[in-house]
Amino acid sequence: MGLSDQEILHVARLARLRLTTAELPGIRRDLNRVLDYVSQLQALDLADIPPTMHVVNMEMPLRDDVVAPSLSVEEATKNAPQVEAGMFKVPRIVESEGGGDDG
Amino acid sequence: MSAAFDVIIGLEVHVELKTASKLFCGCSTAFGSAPNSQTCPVCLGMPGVLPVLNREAVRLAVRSALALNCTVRPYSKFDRKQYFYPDLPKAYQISQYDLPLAEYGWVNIRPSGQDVKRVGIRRIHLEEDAGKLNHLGQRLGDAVGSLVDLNRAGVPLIEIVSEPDMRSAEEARLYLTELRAVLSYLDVSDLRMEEGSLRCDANVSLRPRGYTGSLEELPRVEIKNVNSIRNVQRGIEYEIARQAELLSRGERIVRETRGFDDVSGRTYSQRSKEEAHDYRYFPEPDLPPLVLQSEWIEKERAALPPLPDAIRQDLIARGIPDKDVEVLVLDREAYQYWKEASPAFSDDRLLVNWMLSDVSRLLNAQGRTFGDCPVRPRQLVELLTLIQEGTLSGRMAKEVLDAMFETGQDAKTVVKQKGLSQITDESALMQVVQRVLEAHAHVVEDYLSGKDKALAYLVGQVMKETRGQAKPDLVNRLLKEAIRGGQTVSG
Repeated sequence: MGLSDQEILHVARLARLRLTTAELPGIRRDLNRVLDYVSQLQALDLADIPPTMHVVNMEMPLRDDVVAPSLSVEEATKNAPQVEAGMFKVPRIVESEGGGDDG
Repeated sequence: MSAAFDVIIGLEVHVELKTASKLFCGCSTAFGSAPNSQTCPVCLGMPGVLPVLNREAVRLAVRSALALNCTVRPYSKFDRKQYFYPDLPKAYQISQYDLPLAEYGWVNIRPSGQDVKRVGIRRIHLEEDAGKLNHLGQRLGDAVGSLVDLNRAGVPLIEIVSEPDMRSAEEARLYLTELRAVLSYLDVSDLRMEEGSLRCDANVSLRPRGYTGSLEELPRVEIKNVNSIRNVQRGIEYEIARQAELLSRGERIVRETRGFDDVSGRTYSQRSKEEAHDYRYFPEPDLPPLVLQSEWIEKERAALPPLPDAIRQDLIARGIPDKDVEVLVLDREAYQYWKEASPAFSDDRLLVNWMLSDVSRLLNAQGRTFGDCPVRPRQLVELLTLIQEGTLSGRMAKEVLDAMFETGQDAKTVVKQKGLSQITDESALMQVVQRVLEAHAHVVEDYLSGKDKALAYLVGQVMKETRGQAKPDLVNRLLKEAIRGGQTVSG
C-alpha cells in the first residue's frame, strides 16, 4: 500500500515544500521505496521487546539554573531580512473572519 | 425552560515557571527587557545547537504536579511539536506528547450553594514558551505585519490540561482561581496574567441532550489568549450564548479557534492559514528520556507547603467565617500576614475582621497588597490589643490605624501623640458623670419620669466632656448607677 498523491501533497504542504505536478511521480516512487524498506520491520516478532524511546541509551543530563550571557540584539537580529525596533519583522500572519485572500 | 444541551468546558492553562534561566539554555527569563536582548543560538533555533534541560524547571514542574494531586511519571520524554509560526524560531516546539511529566490530578472547586466539586487534571507537561508577536495593527486580523521578540522563546512552561469537567463559565472561573491559589503557595511562578506568566485557553462545546457520541467528536471552539480570569469567564459566557443561538437556528457549530475582544465582550474567528492541526509529533532526538527517582519525587512531596484545602480546614476550625476563609485562602499574602499575626493575638475572628475590612480598605485605596502593607502584622496586633484591653474604642482604633498607615508608627505612639485612649478608670469617669448630672438636673427629672431617651442625651454629654474617650456602655452603666444612688440619698 503506497502513499496517495493527496497524502504526499499534504505532507509537502506541512513541510512548506512546493511540489510541481511534474515532480510528483518521482517523489511518490522514492517515498514509497523508503516506506517499503522500513516496512520490513513489520515482519519481526517484537512481543517481548520493550519499546525503544530513544536510540542513545543514556539519561537526561541536567544543567543548573544559572544565567549565561546572551547575544547582543544586533548579533541576534543580524541575519533577519527585516528588522524594526530591534525585532524581526514578518509579514501579516492570520486572516480574520470574512477577510483574507486564500481562505 | 431547561436548555436542550449541556455545556462542556475544559481548560488548558500555561504557567511560566520562575527560573532564572530558560528551559534549554542559559538566557535570562527576566520580563520587560529590551526586545531580543535575551537570546542565544539555542533559543534562536540556529543550526547545530543542542538543548540542555534546566534542573530547576523540572523541580518546579514536579512540585506543581504533586500539589495538584497528579502522579509523576518516573519516565517521561520530550517530543517535537511541529508547526510554522513566526514566534517559533525552530519551526517546532520542544514539548511532551505521549509520555508527559505527570497525569491524573485534580483540584476541588466550591460552586456557591453546592457541594465541593472535583475537576480532573488530565496531564501536566513541561515545554518551552514561544516568542512574543507585536502586531502592527489594531488586532491580529487587521495587522499588516508583526514584530517578533524572542526573549520569551524558550522560557519554561508547564501546560496543565483539565478534564472537560466544567459545566458553566462560573465553574471555569472557580477552577482557575483555585489553580492559581495552589500555585501561588508553591511559589513556582509569578502568575501574572497581564504579563503572560499565566495564560488560559478555554475549550467550549455544547452537548445536545440525548447525544451519545464521544466528547472528542463534538464540535469544539477554543478561545485563545485571554488576559484575565474575568475575561475567560466572559469569553465562555459569550461562546455558550453564541453556540446556543446557532443550535437553536439549526445551524452547525464549526470547530475553530477564536479570539476574545474585551471591549465588545465577543469572541471572533481566528481561522489560521495553516491547515487543521497536524503537528507530526516525534521524539526529540536531541534529548534522552527524563528519568526521575521515586526517592527524589517523595522528597519533593514532603517539602510541599500547606495548600489551600488544608489551610481552609485549619481556618474554619479556628471559627473564622467561611466567607472570610475564602478571601484569606485565595490571597496568599493575606494568609501569610494572618499567619504572622495570629500567634500573638487571642481573637482570630477580630483579627481577620480588621484585616479584611479596615486594613483591606486602606490597602485598596493605595493599590497595595498585604505583602507590602505599611502596618506590619505585629503592629496590627498591638492596635487590636488596645481595643481588647478597653484602651481604645473601635472608632478610635480606626483613626489610629489611618495614622499608622500614613506614618508607619506603632499604635501606642499614635495614641500618645493624639492624646487618644479611652477613659477606663471608673472613678475618673464618675467625676464627669456627677458634673453632667448636676448641670442637667431637669433632664434627670425627665428620665426619672419615664423618658428613656433622656438617658441618651446624658450619655452624649459625658462623651462630649471626655472628647469621645469614654466607653459608651460604661458611661451608660455609671449614669444609671449615679441616678439610682442619687434617688436613694434624696428619698
